[in-house]
Amino acid sequence: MSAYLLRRLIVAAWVAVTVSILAFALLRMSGNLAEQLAGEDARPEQIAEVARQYGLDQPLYIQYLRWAGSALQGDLGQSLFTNEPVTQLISERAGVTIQLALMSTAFALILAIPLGVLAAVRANSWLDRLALGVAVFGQAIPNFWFGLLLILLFGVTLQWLPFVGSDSIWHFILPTATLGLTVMPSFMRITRSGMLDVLGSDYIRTARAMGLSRFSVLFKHALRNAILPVVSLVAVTLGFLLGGSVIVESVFALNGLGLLAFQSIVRADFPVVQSIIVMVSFAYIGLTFLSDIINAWLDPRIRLA
Amino acid sequence: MTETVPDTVLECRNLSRRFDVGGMWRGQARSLRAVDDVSVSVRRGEILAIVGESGCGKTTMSRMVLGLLEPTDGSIVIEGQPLAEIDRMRMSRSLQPVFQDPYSSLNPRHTVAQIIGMPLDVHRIGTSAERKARVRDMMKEVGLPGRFAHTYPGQLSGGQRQRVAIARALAVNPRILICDEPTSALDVSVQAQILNLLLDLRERLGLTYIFISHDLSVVQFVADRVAVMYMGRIVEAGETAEVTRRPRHPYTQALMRAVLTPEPGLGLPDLQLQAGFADPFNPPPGCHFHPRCAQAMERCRVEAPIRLHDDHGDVECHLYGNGGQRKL
Amino acid sequence: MTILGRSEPLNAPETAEPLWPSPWASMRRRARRHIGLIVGSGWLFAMILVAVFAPLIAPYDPYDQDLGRRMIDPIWLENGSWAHPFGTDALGRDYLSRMIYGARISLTIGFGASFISGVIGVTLGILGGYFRGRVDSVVMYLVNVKLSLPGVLLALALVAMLGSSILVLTCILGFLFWERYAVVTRSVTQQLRSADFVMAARACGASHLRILVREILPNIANHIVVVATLEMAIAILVEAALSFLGLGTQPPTPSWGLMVSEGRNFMFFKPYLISIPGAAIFLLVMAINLLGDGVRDITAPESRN
Repeated sequence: MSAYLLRRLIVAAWVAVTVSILAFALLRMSGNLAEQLAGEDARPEQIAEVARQYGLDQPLYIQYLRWAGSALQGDLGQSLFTNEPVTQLISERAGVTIQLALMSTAFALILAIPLGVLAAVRANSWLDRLALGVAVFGQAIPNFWFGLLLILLFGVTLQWLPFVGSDSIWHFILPTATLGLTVMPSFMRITRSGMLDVLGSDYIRTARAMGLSRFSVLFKHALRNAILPVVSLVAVTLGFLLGGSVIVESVFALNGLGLLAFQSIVRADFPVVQSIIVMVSFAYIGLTFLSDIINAWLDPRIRLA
Repeated sequence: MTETVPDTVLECRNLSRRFDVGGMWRGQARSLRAVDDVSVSVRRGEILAIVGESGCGKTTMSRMVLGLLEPTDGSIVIEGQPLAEIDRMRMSRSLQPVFQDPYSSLNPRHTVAQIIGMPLDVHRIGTSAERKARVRDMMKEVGLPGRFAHTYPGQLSGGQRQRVAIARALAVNPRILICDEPTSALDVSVQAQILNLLLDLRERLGLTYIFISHDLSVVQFVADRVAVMYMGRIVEAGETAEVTRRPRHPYTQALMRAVLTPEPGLGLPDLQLQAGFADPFNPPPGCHFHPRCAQAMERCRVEAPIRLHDDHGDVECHLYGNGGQRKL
Repeated sequence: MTILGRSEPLNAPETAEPLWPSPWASMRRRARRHIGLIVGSGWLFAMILVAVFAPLIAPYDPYDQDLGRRMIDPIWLENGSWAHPFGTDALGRDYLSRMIYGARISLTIGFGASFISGVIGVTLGILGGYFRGRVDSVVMYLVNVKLSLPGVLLALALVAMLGSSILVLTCILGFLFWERYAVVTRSVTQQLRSADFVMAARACGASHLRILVREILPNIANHIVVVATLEMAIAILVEAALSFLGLGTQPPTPSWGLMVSEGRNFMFFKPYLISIPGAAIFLLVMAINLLGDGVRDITAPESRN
């Protein structure tokens, strides 16, 4: 198992380095940084001075190493727009996005696992078709539009829920439902197909034949094995949601990382954009590595491979 | 058998293939000797059978002869030229395979005509009209009616598919066919038809076959000579009549006993051997066969037997030769 | 030289007639019974016709403003009239005509992006799956890097930097969403690479290129088509989202996502302004997904679950 995890760790490290290089390149592609830092009507001497000051006249690889070095020490530079340290900007907003990601994933799981199990147990019944229908619906609906529809229905017509800002837990319900619906179908499909595989296997049929109750077979034996791929998917989804909540955050004016990224993109504040991309990627890499550990622990076949 | 007879078309010299399996840390890698120091030769126009249980290395051998797998050691000589020096295009015109499973050996998305024409296409032989004619001829040759040209393999029976596979192998006029269990996936009644077809084609086209099988009862009928393989080594070889009438190696004897049971050819026979399969990753010391051998002696556990050779063929067993109880 | 007695002629009864209908015939038969496939492909085909013949079908010029006829209700509301079946928008442009022209944008970007990502992903996947070893490690490394980057966020940043013409949008989306192609192609190629028919081709001296193109590609084409539909749906959704956020297609282009965004300011009074374009995106994406599921079902009926 340690060999397996060590291999995964090496891959993860390589990927992380590559991502940071790409993010660094993105910032360089975005335009002449020195000009932006010096201000709009700076003279060429001033721009050159700024470039010297920030080390922008150095070769690219030295710039990258410096940037990566200070990033490792928690210094991601500062916003071109507000001049605040990027680290501070991000840490202020991350909470909202993490909360939203966790709630949406939980929402999706609560909906998807029972639905997926039922669909598998009653394969090809009306229940299975309904579950499939929900999945097709969730996959096809544009989430910004679904968010607006929820606002119209629950926020305006029924006036049950608030829909602007992130002041209370109630503010999170509509965004959670919106994001949850987009990620739910994959959870449901994977639960269903995992259950179908397990239910068709010999040991479950043996367990049934030995007289274990239907409930116990389903939930104690089958689900535990069917859930393995769901673990990986949860990690992937959480990682995706950290970067994928841009749209929902701007529909519901949630002041999270996504909105910060969006605003920064609009006002060409690329040091912030770059940092968010790196942070989200690293979170994804960390989460998938975590799921590798969990899977290795749950599944002896991987552990011993 | 190692000395070159002028008429030899294919010869394996001390052929070995090792597979390294397993992890990259802490010496987890284990190595498997799939083929171990095998020397055989095939004469023009003859059918040499290689017999053994599944996992004995016969398929690895056929892959090496076909040039699909590099030998770890030893060499293969085809019509006087080392395989390593022949480029694949030229080699494929002297040597073609017929595989065991006619369900996976034919591309399911190609029509019968496309499949049989593929080698012609690869070798850019003739105009497209000439290729079509050649495909029609080949279909006739293997007994497939022309109306099957535009059907897909999925529409055909196992025997029909195997005919397609044979026609494809013959399309570029090879002189040698490597048949890897060509009938073992077929119904018994169809097996006979395909075997007849192969024998017939040998007569008409002057082919040489290497015929790989686990089934001595089939081999008995088709082969001129037999090589018996066990755990990567050839333990006995000789004229088919000789080997089947008077098997010398205890393993061959066990295989023969199985053929003489009431239902020959039905799957792998119960060999009436002492122990179960040996682990190919940890071959037993001495003679690899000793844990299963009814006649094993103390010597077999420590010392590997060397190959003995006489007029009747080769055998690798301590029962014979120096210090053995029996005469060759 | 004959053994076992030659009792029957070589071509009877074993070689009489084909035992089963051709694979194309059975596929057509399954297709005719597959409701999802029929509905999905029917709607997609209708939308393609609408897009191609937009100038002939659209009653008005989609760019023609008529400030005297602003926000006229669609036909199903009380004040609607057949002059503008879908009503008009805030600038008095005929909504039906804008919807019709909008189909062009969604479909162009959908097909284009799916094609570009297909070329990238299939090439990588087929190489990795076929050659294994070092080539495969490189492919998997690229896939891992791609997976860990936040796609939507990166798309937003790149669009902001590189511009938002339809061509640029298509390319950006094509270059960002190829990993699913790569993963699927790689795994099915791995299963095929050691099939006997590939061995037979190699034994004939066929080059690797020929084996990949002539032997393997036809056998994975159905999987590629299924992924292509998925990617097309995703590209359409992401384009709509980018345009909704104001970074995609720019006004006055009639993009459905942009129309939702423009209608958003009036959605409390004139909800049809967002419901019509939103529903159009939803229906198109759903049709494409149904088509993809259908293709999977009819080409590989055994892998339905």
